[in-house]
Amino acid sequence: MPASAVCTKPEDLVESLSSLDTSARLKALRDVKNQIIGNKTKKLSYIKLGAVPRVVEILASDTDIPLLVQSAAAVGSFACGTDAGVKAVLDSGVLPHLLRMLSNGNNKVVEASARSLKMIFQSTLAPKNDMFQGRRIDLILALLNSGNENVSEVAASVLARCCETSEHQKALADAGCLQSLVFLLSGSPKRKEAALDALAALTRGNPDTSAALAATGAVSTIIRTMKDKSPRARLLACMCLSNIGRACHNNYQQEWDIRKSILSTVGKLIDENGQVGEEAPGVLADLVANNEELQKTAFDFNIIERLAEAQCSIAMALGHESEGVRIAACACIKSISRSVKNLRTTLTDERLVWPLFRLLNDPSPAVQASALSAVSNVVLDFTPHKAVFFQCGGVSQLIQLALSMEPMLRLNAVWALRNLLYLADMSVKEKVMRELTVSTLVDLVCDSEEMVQEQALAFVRNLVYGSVASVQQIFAADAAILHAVERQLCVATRPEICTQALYVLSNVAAGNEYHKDAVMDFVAPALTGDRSVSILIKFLLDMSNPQLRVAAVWCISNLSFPESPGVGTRVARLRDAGIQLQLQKMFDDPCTDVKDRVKTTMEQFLCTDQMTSNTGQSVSCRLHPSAALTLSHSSWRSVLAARRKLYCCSNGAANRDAKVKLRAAPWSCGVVGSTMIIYLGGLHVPLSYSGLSIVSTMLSSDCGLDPQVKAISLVVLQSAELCGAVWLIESSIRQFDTRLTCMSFDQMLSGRRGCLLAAVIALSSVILSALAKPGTSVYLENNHYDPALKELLASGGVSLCATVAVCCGITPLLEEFVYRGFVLTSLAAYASPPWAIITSSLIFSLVHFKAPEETLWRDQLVSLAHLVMTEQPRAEVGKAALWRAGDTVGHQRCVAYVEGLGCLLLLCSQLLHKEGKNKRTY
Amino acid sequence: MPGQAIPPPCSFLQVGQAFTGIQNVSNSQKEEAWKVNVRLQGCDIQHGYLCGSMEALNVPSAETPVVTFWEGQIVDNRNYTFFTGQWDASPDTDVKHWSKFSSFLPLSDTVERDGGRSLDLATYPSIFMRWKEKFFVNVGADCGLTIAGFYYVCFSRNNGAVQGFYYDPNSSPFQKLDLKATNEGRAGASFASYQFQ
Repeated sequence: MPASAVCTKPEDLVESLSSLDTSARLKALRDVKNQIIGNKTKKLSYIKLGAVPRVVEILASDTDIPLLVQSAAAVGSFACGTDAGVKAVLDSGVLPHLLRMLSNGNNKVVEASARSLKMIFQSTLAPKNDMFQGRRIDLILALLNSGNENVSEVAASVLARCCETSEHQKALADAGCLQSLVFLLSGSPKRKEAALDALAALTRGNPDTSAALAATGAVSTIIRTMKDKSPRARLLACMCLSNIGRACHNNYQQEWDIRKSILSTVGKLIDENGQVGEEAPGVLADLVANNEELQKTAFDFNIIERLAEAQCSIAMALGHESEGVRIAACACIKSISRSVKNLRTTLTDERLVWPLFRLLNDPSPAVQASALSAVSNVVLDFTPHKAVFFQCGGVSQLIQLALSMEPMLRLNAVWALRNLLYLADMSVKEKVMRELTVSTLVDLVCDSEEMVQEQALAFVRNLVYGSVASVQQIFAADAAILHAVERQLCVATRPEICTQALYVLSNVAAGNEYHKDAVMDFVAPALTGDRSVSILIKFLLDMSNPQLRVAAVWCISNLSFPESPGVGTRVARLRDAGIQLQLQKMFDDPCTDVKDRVKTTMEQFLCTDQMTSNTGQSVSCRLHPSAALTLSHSSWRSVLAARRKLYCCSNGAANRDAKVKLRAAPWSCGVVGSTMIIYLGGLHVPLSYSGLSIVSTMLSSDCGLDPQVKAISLVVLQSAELCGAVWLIESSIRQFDTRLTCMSFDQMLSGRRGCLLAAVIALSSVILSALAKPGTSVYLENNHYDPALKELLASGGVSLCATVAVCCGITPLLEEFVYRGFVLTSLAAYASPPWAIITSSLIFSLVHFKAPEETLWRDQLVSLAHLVMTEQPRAEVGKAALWRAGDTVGHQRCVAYVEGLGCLLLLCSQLLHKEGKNKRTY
Repeated sequence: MPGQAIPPPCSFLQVGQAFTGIQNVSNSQKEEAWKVNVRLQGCDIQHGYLCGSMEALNVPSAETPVVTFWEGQIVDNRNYTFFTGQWDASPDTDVKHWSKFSSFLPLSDTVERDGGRSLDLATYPSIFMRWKEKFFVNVGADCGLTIAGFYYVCFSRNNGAVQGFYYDPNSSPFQKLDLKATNEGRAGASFASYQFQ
């Protein structure tokens, strides 16, 4: 009747399943089964027609062998390949019946039931806890020991799927499951896989069952399985071994070798297609989690690279519906991303990064936490992901997580933010701070969890790293963040926290003057009267942790950084706070790094002292213009001395920028020029050149002034010019921030023989020149360019005193102050000493230029003497200056201070002759 | 070699540290020099590993600045010894290059005798390293520079000065790298930090 069979409608077939006639039922069952095999549409339509309960009913109530076989097979067909089918068969309560059938005396029934069960348990819908109810566990155990390979295989697969909690694991192990499973390892490939699967499930994350498995002596069998033909068997063997290895350290010989071979096996499995290849990364992540040695080995095996090649599968896993797979995928990315190289190469793939960032919003907190750890590595500076991260709202999400009540989430979120800011540019920092807000950051710095505090401080440290603008951020909202950091330094006890906080201060102290002073106010408060000990001393004394001492010394080093203007005051304050004393004690610190930093810092202190002595004189110069002459002398010398010192320091401490630049001139380059023009135009020409004619015009005397009036006028005019010059120069003085170019001082400064020789030659020349003329006073009396002076000197006591005062006091003072104290010092700051001397001499010569009838030879000598006596460079420099300056321009520096400075003899003879020594005219 | 102590940390060997200086090529045919900037990106003293980026500016043969990524080995007699054992460097090459560093001279006898494995390098004022460039970051391999060889590096703990000699059998011998730790124009040293999870 083939025609009628074919024509049977599905409704009728379903109806026939409940037929009272056994053969009709059997035929209907066969027909249904044959129609649904491999046909999803048919399966669904029969499910709709209610075929499944009828099939199960047959299984439950019939005893006829062919019926049972067919119904069991039909159940399997329904359950195969579609979740709707699995759901339908489970809903009809088929499980107990199928299990019961496994104990049926007929082999065909047993195998058909076993296959169906396997189909059901391949689905995630399969019940798990159900299997541990009542006596079912005993039944499964019994099945496990069954002589029928298919039955024991099914039982093992069921166990593998159902064993989820540690209670299950313990119950099964106690019931002797492990031994039975180990026995199954020797069976057919399928059974072996099922047994390994079950063993892996029983030992997953459970040290007790893992140890129990190791105790069964199965380890060697499992190790052999790592070389099995089936990739799945290899992977499962690795899972078991990895569980055992984690639980039982040193429990078996060559543990390390085995771990390595596990690693290489799993590494190769990544390349497999299908399920094995997808699961392998998860196993690997599990294997190397928290084991640095293994991570390094994985690196050596190039597994990471292979993993990265499998990134498509990881990307897919990130979007997998199962929570466990997503977590494993995150763990996998986390493992790969622990290498800068990978971050810069394989992890630049957006296909991985986007889904990972999206997982921060995952509904499951476990996935969030896992994604967060991976994100925190991925956002590091080397990666181009920062922009992507901002685009997809990752920062906002991180900040939300940083506010989480869950400490782990909070910690990891702050950690990720800290890494995000590592070497980040200003725009990133600003964006993050805008969303995070200062008050939240302050809360995080003072978090209840110490680990969060540490990460928050590290975040601040990265925030203020770099440019002055970066540092400025810590001063937002009345420097609330800085104060929070300072509070932590006062109260925190964990060295990790203090180290981060100290680095925050150190980074702030690398900012501008204002920033440095803000740090100063904390580490060495400016107190009136009593001197308190700096908080930094506490950390300098901490012998438990060299990192603390290093950070503290860096802080001091930045505060005493030689190129900053206010360094003198700061060094003095640091010294008052007991820091220098403490540093001196640390020259022999057991930590090399500390020792080196202390040495450098102490050199900075020393150099600052040298510089300060110079600055101090400039300041007193301002207070006492009359002391300008001597001060400008010593000032120049101290500049040189400081430079030499600094030069030596910089040789020894080349960690500073390549060239040590220091400032010695309190005037900037432009100011020197403008000041000189104002001085010459506004003071020197009106007062020195036309001063007397102005006086005579004012007094309306046509026939010249009375010598006495003239002399007094000179005193007044010169005094006025001096005061004016002092005021002018002092008002243009500025804070020390000039940068000097580096020069080679050793040439200039080594050896004094040249100076002395030159001085002797110069003096003897002057004396000889005087003696060469008839009469010692010729040189002075025949002072052909100043007959007026003679007149002044000859006309009475007042006139004489005034003239001497002008010529020997006020004028030299003025010129010293202007030309040496100001011009030369300034020039020396911007040019090398020989050029500074030559240029200043040139300027002087030009200003005091006289008609060329002067005797050139004498001027040369004077010039030589002057240069040698005052500047004390080596003779070559003096000569160079002489030939270039003195030879071309009538250099008229007066002999007065040659004598005044060194030649008492000549001075006496001049006084004796009551002759003025000054050849300068007005 | 697990008995050897690892070198104690050094302020200038921290992530984020910048170095600047020049590289010199000088041989009979040419005399060239260009500016080099280096930044440490990763440092794991425990495993003798460090890495970073190296930027070569004004290279005569290249049109744009060339940035490479390099990885380094620290000679600590624990993870790595003076003998390179790879990258076409024989022990002879090693000794020849190390000997170019004056601070290596006190060690050279011992190294030639037994590879210097007995030396306590942890307390030595210099740290010897090898830097091997791994890939070009911003340009292709045809940029005019090669990364086939590697640098023998001597790093001064005291001030972060770095000296290096490039070794590549196919390039000019003894190209010299001279770097100094830099503050990048700040009025003091600034330190960033990150930590892998």
